[in-house]
Amino acid sequence: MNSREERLAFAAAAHVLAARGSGRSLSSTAMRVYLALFVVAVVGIPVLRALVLAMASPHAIAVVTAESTPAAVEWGAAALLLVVACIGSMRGAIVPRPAYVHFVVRSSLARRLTLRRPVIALHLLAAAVFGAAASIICGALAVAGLALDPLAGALFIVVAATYGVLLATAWLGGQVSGRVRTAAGITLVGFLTATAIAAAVGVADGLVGWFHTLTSAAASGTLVLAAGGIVLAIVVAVVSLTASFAMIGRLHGSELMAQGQAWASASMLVQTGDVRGSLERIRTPARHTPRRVSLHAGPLWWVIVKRDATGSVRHPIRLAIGIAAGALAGIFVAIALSVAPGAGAVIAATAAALAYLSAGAGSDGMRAHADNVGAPVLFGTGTQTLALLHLILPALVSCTVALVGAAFALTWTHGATSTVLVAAPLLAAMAVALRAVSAVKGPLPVTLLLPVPTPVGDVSVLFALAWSFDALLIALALGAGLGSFDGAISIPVLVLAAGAIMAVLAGWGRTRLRRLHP
Amino acid sequence: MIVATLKATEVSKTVQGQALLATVSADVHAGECLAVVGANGTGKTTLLRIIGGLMKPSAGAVTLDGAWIDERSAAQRGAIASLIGAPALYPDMTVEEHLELICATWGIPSPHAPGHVEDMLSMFELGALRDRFAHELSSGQLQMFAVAQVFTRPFSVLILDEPEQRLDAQRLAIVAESIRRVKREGAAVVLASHSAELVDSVADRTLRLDAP
Repeated sequence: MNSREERLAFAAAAHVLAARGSGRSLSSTAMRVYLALFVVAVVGIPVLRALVLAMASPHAIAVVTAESTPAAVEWGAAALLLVVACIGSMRGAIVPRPAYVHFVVRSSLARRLTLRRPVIALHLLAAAVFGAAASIICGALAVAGLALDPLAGALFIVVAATYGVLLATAWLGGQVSGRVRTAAGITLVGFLTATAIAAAVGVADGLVGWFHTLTSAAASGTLVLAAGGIVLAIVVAVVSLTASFAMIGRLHGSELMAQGQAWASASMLVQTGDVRGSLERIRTPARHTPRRVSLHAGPLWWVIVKRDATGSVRHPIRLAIGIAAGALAGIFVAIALSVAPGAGAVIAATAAALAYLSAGAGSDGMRAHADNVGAPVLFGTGTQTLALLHLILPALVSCTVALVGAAFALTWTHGATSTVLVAAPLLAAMAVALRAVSAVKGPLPVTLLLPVPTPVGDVSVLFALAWSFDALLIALALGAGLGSFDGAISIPVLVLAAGAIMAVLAGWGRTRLRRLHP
Repeated sequence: MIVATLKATEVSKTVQGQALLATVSADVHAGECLAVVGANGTGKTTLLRIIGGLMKPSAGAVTLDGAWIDERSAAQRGAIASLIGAPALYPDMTVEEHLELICATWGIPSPHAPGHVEDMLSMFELGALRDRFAHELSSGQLQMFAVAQVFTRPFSVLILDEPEQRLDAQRLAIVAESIRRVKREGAAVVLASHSAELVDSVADRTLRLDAP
């Protein structure tokens, strides 16, 4: 088949899929464009404006223009490239619908044709996100009254958008490699090579040194430097996009299909309100560890701790994210208790959300046990006892990590040391308890799927979402409550309040468990 | 192993006017295997769930050694092992670790547990699969793993619902031999099956169910 015949075949296939409702028709595309325009006009622009104004505040602008910021951004950008490449090896950048993969992508048609649209959309989206972020910073600098050369600003935005394109390519590269180590290695080598080339030809002091580029170009006002930088950035973007198109031919159809089916199944479950089931569908399976731990020796509580620890280590990425989130939660608690109550409530609520996220990484044993409840008895330990034993490890890890994070933050915040060091692990412990309560909630009650007609339409989805995220919402509320106290709360009151909340959560969890296993 | 007599007297099940199980009586004694056979929809699994204490009958009673079946009784939970549907698994544990955990929760002493696990892995020919996760097993291997888990825990009454599912002839023979083994050790076995070969090789008596 020559390229013209391939294009015709692809157009025919796309037409058939569109006619069967599994593809995008002209009217649905028009509707999407219409919706996108209105969302941008009604939501996007006001949000961007608010962000620019927030960034232009003296505190934020001081951070943006601080001497250490460019280096931090460079390191962050480099780390993000690595992270995204690793994520790509587990969660693809391009995941078409299963029917499209089956009928079109796995056909004899060239991938550059069948996957052209998602590849371009991915790179455009990434470029737009980073270009927008750079625009916000430029806007903030202008609003703050700092001198900014327009050409230097344009260079900054173009370089940021180019970085977005590189990020999309790294993500796709990770998907093509299929292995975390390969993806990380290739990205690292590519990044170092590109940085060396960029430094050799004298573009700023590195490929991602856009802050330096911005400031040096703005300071010198060199037109040639700025224009040359823009041209180079565009060339890099084009090369990156070309590399992406070269890579997509190496994608395995079976893996695309597996990921497509997982996402289709997950999105269907989300629509029915089963968020937990949805997450299960896209969760990476456990990996083998070099050494296994014997579950024979020791008392039962120790056996369960070993089991849970082994299970956590077999999800290394989730474990790393969980530990990082837990430490960040501790840091946020320390910050929340050292600022004004209003801001403190928001920061503490974020800390609670992070603690809840962190607790999830060690709670696989608890979740699996909850799934066992109600089935014929396989294990010789009572349901409630086993549930409690599964809480030991996540509680220990979450509290310790939050404590370490809080202690670290205390070195540069001004909160009451003892209050922070008590509040952080208590918040982490409550997050673990909420994870347990959430794990034993059972299936979504059918009554929540019944329509709830109101003057503004059917709001049943809100009830289903509230049910799905009840534990997270409670965690947010608890965090906000903690942050409202301005660090002035006494430790005994804090411990008593946490104890009362834990008692309520324990009773609630027990009730739910009994409902599952009367 | 405790000597057990499981007795179902005039049990039936009706849900919202729909009969799931017609009235039936049965009993099974220690060292004996009762095979429950019948076409699809005749209530075999419902009967097994009732005698396993997982479902209450609409009428009639089930007793174990004279005591009414009550799933809340720890002693009865310890006595009755059931394979009804696929057992829920820990997705981050290997085949061998599952069997080890079962031993640990049943208090099988450390000196004996490794031997017991090896015995089960060997009996069900899972030795080569010991380090695999459940998601790395074929459907037939998963079924053998499910059967092995139930046999790993102690019991005096064994309830098996169509254990032959997805098994080839060789593995079906292994399951049959393991049922005969626990019978010799004194367990009472209730087996629902569509496999005439399995029923013929292990059953002492057969209970045929008709459509309710």
